[in-house]
Amino acid sequence: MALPDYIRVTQGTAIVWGEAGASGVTATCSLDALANGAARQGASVDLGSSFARRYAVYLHVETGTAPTAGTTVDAYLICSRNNTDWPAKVTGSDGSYTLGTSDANLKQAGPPVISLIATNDSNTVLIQPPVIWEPAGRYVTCIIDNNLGQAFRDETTATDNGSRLILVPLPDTSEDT
Amino acid sequence: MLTAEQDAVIYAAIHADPTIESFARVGNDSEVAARLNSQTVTVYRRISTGQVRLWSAVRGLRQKLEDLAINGTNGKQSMALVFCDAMQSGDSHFELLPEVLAMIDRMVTDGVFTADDKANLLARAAEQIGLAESLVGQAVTIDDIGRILYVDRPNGKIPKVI
Repeated sequence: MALPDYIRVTQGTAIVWGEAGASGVTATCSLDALANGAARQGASVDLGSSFARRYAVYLHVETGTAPTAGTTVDAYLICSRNNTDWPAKVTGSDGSYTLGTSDANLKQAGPPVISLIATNDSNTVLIQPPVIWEPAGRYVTCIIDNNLGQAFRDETTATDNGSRLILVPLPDTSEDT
Repeated sequence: MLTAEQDAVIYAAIHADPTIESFARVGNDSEVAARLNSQTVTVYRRISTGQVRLWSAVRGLRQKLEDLAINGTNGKQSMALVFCDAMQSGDSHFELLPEVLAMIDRMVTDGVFTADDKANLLARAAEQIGLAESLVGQAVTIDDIGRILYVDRPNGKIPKVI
């Protein structure tokens, strides 16, 4: 059997956490009107029994009142091998996330996978450039921690909120010429 | 980090001010913190002893206080001694404790100082500090505000305005 000539990367179907029913959202993490100093956890996603080694992670945050430039929204990705045993007190279901005394719960989640650095813009979807992340388990969920000093935009219709955490699989494919 | 008691004081202060409360309601925690830290409260905590000496000279009170410190009656002697001691001490500052402020009021009542003398002295001691500092002894951070207002935000979200 001939060895492949090239290993290429393809872009798979995105997993999108955001408001249930909002455009493009595939997993719920209700981010509309998320208050400063509060965090939200998303519904768990099954990456499949065979999943990509690398994923691109994008963070979009829709501001309401303009935040102070340089403040952050921090996103964490948490993996589980069985969708039952979750670290950092996440549950695998969409809901508020208790940061814990001195943010101890959140610290157990490890460092953020991506942090959005805010600019001083109101009513704007801010987008952080993607980072590459490798999952450590088949099941994954997210925590979004708002440190903007402002709430996320409170849309009249929550599903209009443009805040999203997007996970794009980047599977390797081999190519023979 | 603030204590639970200090959190409760700040929480009450936020809800006691309609303007600050309006920012809290829409989740603008940075503005809430800025308003609580804005230097709008005048306090009289201490005054340099040099300012006390200058004040007594400018207002023509030094000799009067020294005479009272020797011959004063009805408590005036004790109160005059407080000021004389402050002027003569090697301390850099004179603490304007509540008891001292009460003495100043008493000296006005007794006709030793005029109301203008008192105002002149306090003007030299006036400091502008934030409401938070005046209530809990320190400024508040945006993180403090997020934590303190969490109880008003079911599931960590600001309530919808219907």
